[in-house]
Amino acid sequence: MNDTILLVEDEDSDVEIFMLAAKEVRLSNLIQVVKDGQEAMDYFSGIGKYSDRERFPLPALVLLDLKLPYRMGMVVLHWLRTQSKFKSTIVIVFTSSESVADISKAYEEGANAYLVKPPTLEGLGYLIRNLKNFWLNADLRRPEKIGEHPKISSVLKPLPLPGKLRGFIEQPSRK
Amino acid sequence: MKPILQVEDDPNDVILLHHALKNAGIENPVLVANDGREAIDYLQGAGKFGDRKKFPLPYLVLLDLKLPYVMGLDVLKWIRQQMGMEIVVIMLTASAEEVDIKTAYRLGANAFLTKPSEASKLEDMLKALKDFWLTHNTLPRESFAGPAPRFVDSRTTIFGPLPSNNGNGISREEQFTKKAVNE
Repeated sequence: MNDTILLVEDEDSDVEIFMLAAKEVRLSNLIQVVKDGQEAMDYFSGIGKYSDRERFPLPALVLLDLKLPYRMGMVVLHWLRTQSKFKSTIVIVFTSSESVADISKAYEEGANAYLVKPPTLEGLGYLIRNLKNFWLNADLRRPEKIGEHPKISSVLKPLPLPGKLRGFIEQPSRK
Repeated sequence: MKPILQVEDDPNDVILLHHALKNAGIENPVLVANDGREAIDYLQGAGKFGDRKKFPLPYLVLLDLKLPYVMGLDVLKWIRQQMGMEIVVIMLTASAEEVDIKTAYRLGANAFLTKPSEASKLEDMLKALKDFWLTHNTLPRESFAGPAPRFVDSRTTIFGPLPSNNGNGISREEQFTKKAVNE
């Protein structure tokens, strides 16, 4: 099981730090990055290069920044929840905003969870590990993926996870 | 510390979850509602639940699908319509049709979990739940307001005593035996 994570983040430095932290905790999932709200919507709609679902599979999990160029994170979230196909996609807001208004609005618009970006690389690694342990192991029931199992690109060579990071959901034997 | 409200009618599952929560290191008080109606009464503070100091709103609701009187998805719908999004609702059920999962997310469930049959796996699942929801997730600040309940500890169920370990209940020893057999 190697689900795609879609990171919607415009700050290059934040993307870099995220990738670094993900590597630190040996997250083997494919991480796709889009840099603004419009691009996120294009990704979901499969517009342009995003029509290639082998390269750009529909994500199992979206990490959505709120402050984005062109279309703000809230607009993307609102749009996703109006599309019947993406109503139950897991969207986790991932932002530096701690504003109560943003938090409330995000949940009202249908965010599954709201995370404030940790200030340290270590904190981010810890968060990514816990995020994976909950969302990508315990919660494998994502209805929108029925009938749409994207082929995992042959280029992708997931790192084997150390025992303690391995999921607890039983997986079919590869023997 | 805000409580966790478990809505579950099967006494065996109440006991299993109770032990697993404890073993997973979750220290929040756990309250049990045995059916959907009781859950709604509790959440809306009806009748004896009117005193919020004694019966505080939970941080997290663990909601089964099949419940007497009011089904889980109707409880979820009620929570989102009446209480908004400031309570985390996680569906926790033995088995589910895809349509239930889809409906639950559309009605505003934060997450959907299927109960593993092994006690050790349930424990791991709850550890992951704790590490995400009780460590990283943020709710609007208002939802943290209110005094921490003093009288409840993690063994208490305000809806009556925990089901006995005799009879139909599964004792911890039995769970471990079961685990050992499975291994």
